[in-house]
Amino acid sequence: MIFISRFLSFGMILCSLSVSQEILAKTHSQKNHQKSDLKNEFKKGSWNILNPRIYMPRPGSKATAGYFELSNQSSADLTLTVSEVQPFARVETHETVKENEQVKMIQVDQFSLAPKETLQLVPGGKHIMLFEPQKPLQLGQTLRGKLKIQNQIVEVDFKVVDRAQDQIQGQHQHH
Amino acid sequence: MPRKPLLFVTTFAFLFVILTGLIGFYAHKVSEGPLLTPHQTIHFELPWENQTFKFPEQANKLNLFYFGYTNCPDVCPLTLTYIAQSLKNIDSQLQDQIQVIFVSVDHQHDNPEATQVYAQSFDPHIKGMTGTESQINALVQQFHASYTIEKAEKTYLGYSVTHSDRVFFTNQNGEVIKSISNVQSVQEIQNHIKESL
Repeated sequence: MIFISRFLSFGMILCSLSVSQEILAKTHSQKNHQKSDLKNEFKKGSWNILNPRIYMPRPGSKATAGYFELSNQSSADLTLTVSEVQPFARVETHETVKENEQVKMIQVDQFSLAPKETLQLVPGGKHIMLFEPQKPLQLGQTLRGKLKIQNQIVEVDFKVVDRAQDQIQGQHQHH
Repeated sequence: MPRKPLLFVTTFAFLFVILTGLIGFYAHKVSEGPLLTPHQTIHFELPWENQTFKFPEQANKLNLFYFGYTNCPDVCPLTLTYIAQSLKNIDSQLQDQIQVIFVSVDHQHDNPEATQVYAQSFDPHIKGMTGTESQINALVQQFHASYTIEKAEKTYLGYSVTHSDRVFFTNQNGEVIKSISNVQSVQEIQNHIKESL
C-alpha cells in the first residue's frame, strides 16, 4: 500500500514537472518570437543594421535622437554617415562625452568601425541627432533614412518609438 | 600556536578590515558623488506658469533638481525619463510629496513656457523653469553646478551646451541633502528617493 502510494506520488511529481517544462518552453518560445518581431534588421553583404529607431520628439524641443546597432562582419574598416531621415530638417552624428561631472555632445563627421567590430548607438553614448520634423510624427510610424556606409547609399527604415518604453526595455536587456 | 603565524594572521586580518573599509568608503563616494553643498539652503525665484515660483517657500517634502536644456536630445531626456519612471513606480501618496524641477541653463534659446511644456511631457510632477542669465547663474552657483554655452557653427543649432550631470535633492527647508551624478537606472534614482523621504 505504501509502495503504491509512493509510486503514485512520484508519478504525479513527474507529470507536473513535464507540464511546467512545457509551459516554460512555450513562454520562452513566445518571448523569442516577440523579440524577433520587434527587431528591425537590415543586412547587406558584410554589414548588418539592427533595431534602427528614433525617439518620438518632445513638445518644447527642436531635437531628438536615434539609435541602432551596426556590425561590420568584413575584414576591412567601415565608415558610416547619416545623410537624411525624412521628414527631419537635418540629421547629424553626435557623441555624448562625460568629463569631470560635465556632459557635452560632440558632433562627429562619421563613425568608424574596425573589422569585425559592432558599433552600438545607445542613449548616453554615440547617437544620431535629428532636428525639427517638418510634419507631425506618430508612435510606430516608420521613417525612411539614408545612410552612407563605405561610400554606398543605403536606405533604412527607422521606427518612431517611445523613449521611456525603449529605455526601460534596454535597461532590462542589459541586466 | 607559535607566535609568528599568529602575528601574521592578526596583521592580515587587520589589513583586510582596513582595506575593505577603504574600498567601501570609496565606492560609496564614487556612486553618490561628494555632497558639494552640505545643508546649504537654496533660494531662488523663477517665472513659472505666468507666476513667480519661490523656493524654498514652494518646496515640497522632497525636491529634485536637474540642470539641462530642452534641445538636449540624449542625456537630459535620458535622466528625466529615469526620474519620471521612478516616480511612476512609487506609491501615489509618496508621489505627492515629491517635486522635480528641471532648470534649463539655455537662457538664450529656451523660455519658461517651452521649458514647462517639455518637462511636463515626462511626468506631471516635473516642473520646467528657466530665467534670465543672472537668475540661472545665481541658481547654478548655489548648487555648485556649472554650464557653458559655446558656438558650434557646424551644427544645426549653432551652439553646444556643456552642463553638470547631477541630480540634487533638497528637503522641505530647501537644504541640499544629497546629490547623485550620472544616473544609470530607474532603480538607482528610486532607491535614493525612498531613502530621502
